[in-house]
Amino acid sequence: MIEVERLSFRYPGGALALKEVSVRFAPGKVSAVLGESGSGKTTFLLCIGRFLRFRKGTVRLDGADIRTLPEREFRRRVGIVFQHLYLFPHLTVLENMMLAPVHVLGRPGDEAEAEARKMLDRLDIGDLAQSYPGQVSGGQAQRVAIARALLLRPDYLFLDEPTSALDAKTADDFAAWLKGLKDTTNFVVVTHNLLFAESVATEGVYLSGGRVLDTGPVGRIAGHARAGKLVTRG
Amino acid sequence: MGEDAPGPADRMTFGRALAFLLRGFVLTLLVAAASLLLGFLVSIPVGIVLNLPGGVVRLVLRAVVDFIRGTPILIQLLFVYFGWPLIPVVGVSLSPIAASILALTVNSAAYMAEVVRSGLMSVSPGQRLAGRALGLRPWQVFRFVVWPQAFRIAMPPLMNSVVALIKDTALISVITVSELIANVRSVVSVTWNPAYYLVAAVLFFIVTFPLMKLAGRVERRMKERGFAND
Repeated sequence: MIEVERLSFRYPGGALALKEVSVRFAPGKVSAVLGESGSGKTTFLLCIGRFLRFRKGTVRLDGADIRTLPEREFRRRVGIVFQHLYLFPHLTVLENMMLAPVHVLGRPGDEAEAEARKMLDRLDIGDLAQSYPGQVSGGQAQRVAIARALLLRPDYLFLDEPTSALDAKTADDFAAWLKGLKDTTNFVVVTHNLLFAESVATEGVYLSGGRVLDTGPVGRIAGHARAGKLVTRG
Repeated sequence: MGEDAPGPADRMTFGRALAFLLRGFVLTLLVAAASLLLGFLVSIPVGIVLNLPGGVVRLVLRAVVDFIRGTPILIQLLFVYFGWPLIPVVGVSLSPIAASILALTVNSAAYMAEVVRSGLMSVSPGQRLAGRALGLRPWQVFRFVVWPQAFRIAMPPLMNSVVALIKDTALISVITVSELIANVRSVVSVTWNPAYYLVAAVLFFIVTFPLMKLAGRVERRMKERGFAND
């Protein structure tokens, strides 16, 4: 369980980007963090991912304050796939996949390679193993980035705007594909795409102006958003 | 002229002249190789520091690199050989070859550090973020993610620096090193045949041309792999 309590964050010299955000991500279901551009979704993700240091509020992972967890343990348990994916362009897909298992988990190379190939096959992208990231499509790159993160067997995997670079058809295919991975980890999708969130997630939170405006079933939140009921006041 | 010097014009066959030039060229290449190796090793930490956001060390290195890049290598060479020994306390006399290697090392390090710096800067901060998100330690992020990309980006301009330095090595004849240029001048002074200058130029070209082609090949290979620096 990830519990976020009254999390606030202000960029140096800037406005308050998150205002007392409280939300829980329960295991066993796909969750969504929803909101328009500039709503604070990415800041929220960077705080939870320990890339931004927040002073107010707490984020707990299974009861432990994430700020007290050793770096390696935290990174192994909470994965992030960024909007721009950041596959390593100088490495093949297979090498991208093997990097963390070998150098973070300490797996022997042949074992890591076997696991990586198995994961690629499971995710229907086995034929990309020897390709370089610059040689694969946006949808394929998205899958590779997720596969790379899944090899650390994280408890939670956050996906930042996973459909932003995909056309509507590819986004639908991706949603169906993602649903097939529910048993691999607890996914949290951070997205402005209500349709996508509805198709993959059950629970969600809606951010606007750095505040939580709604939490609960994603279908209900999406309905409120479409009806214009989720607008920041003040 | 020493024992390596060419003999009288009547005994100076093309074969003997070529052998004499090649001896000088080997020395040219050895001095260039030593300077390049040392210069490259120095350029990596300097390039890394130049890429940092601030600090006194960075400012000092920035000034040194700018000064070296902004002054003629010939002056640097003359200063290291003739001027440095005269400086109290730190001044030491160096042999012509040692002075050549030192001056060329410092000069090439300055140029290559700038290339390394710009290579490092070209790697997207997102790459570091992704490396950290995967649990890699900062040094591992540098070793496995940032440096290999920066090096690939820097490779073509580094090759240009290598070619430039090999050509600049011709200047060390001014501090009495018997390298190719010194030898070709000796040969021409004996034979009165300026065509030997062309021979010397061809020798340089035989070494520099493959390096220039290699730089182009590296660039093409990066493009073929779709090396998108994102």
